[in-house]
Amino acid sequence: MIFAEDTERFSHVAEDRARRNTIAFMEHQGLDRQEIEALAARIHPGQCTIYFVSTIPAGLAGSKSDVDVILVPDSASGSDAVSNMMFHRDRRIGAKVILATEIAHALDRLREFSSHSLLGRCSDVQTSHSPGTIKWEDLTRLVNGLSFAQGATYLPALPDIARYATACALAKYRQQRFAAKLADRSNAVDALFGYRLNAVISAMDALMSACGRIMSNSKWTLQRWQQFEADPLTDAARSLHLLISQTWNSVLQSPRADSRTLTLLDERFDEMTATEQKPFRHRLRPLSSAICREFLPGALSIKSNGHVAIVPSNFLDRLASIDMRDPPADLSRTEAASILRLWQLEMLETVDETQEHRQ
Amino acid sequence: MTQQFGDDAAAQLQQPASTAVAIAPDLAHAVDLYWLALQKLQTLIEDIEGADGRLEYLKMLRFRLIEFIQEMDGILNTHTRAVGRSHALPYALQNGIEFLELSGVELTSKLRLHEPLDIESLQQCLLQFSYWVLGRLPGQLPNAQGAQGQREVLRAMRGWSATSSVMGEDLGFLAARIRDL
Repeated sequence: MIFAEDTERFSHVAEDRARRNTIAFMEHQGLDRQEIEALAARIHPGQCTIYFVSTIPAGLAGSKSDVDVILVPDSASGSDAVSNMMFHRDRRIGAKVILATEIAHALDRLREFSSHSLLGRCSDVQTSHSPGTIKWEDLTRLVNGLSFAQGATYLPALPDIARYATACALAKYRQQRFAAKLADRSNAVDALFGYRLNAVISAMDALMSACGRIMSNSKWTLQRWQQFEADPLTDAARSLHLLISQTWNSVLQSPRADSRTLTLLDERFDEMTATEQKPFRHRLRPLSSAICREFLPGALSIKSNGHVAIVPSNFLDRLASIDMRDPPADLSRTEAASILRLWQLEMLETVDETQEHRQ
Repeated sequence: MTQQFGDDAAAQLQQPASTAVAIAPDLAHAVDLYWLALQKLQTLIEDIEGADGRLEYLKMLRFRLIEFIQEMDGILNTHTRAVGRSHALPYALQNGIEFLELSGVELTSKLRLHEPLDIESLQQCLLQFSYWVLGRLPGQLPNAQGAQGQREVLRAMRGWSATSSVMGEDLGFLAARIRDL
């Protein structure tokens, strides 16, 4: 699933890059790395390894960026993760303590995930619920983090993180594509544009993750894409990169146009995951907590997520018959608009079914 | 008095004044709105100011800004309710933002979404827009980012807590906010 060679190449240069980026940032911004480390160390009584994480080692930090560090105590003593904010030469330093045992546990869970098939799904492969107890954001930061004393300790976990991150990004891509098709069918052209933007941004994230470049905060995606352009890639990765770039340009230039490149992109992503997962059918259905009752002959009420929707009585059957990947030709404009609205209000959720499984 | 009414009427004939009040269903929602502005809008403005010549980053911040104001809209307009985060951008582009009295087309236009812009122009556009949004919220928002800020935030929360009490509202929602701090 991931571009193994690209990921490996990147992991060979990642530690050096992180070091160079961090040193350059400190020099450029007139900061003292060792003073920062000393300041951060104060938040925990024992010996810690201090990792510079997030935008600084990634080479994305600017004049107003925070300095983010994670402290991993050497001994198992102590409390839960503590977060602190300090100031050094007018610069905000965000420091957090995370225990080595929690990290090890999270990385073990991640390895387990890696070997299951997350791929091909569109239902939320949750990044907000990380494997283990530490947040996904912190896990990705650690894997890409750098200690000047110990190096990039967690970099060996990169392939596992990359698989998980790629699966998450692809799931988002698929959801956005499905929503785009509904928006298209209901003639919501501005929403269509928005869904297409989201889809291609997720595609960028998927490819970069598959090549070992991980960043949990999506606000950096377009900037990272630009950086990524300059990196040496294998032919396979490069060809997908070109397709995604073309798709981005075509979406921006003609927001409402028929998108052949997006269809091509769908196919390419399907090919990438085809050998590793069973094909899924993707459907939308009410949340399991929803209450559905007849409202009147011909109408159903659905209570869910703080709303009550009144829908035609065949609504649920209709929904069950629709494969999101390929909405039927007879799906009316009104039906598409209704389904999309309920989905937007989070009254519906996606579900992945293997071909053999019927609900 | 008559003079004043006359002036108001004349003004009204020219252009409907837009509101600079925030109308929420209850205090909890009003606090949530301001809390969001404090946590996210200020950070966003800082990010925009610190763009440092990175155009692609700014373009992404523009999308973030749209998602953010959609979230604010959902707090105020419970009949809209904030849509799922993955739908926020498309929803806002299609339906506009009610509390800002902007249609989707107006929003797109104000944020110059379809114009090729250089970094200074885009940065200025986003900053102007962000400050305009802030200006729609009466009162002086504490700056949560500064060292001083945390004290000001706590002071605000104590005030809101007391007001909640007087208005006969549950204070539970504030506990979660305090924990976040």
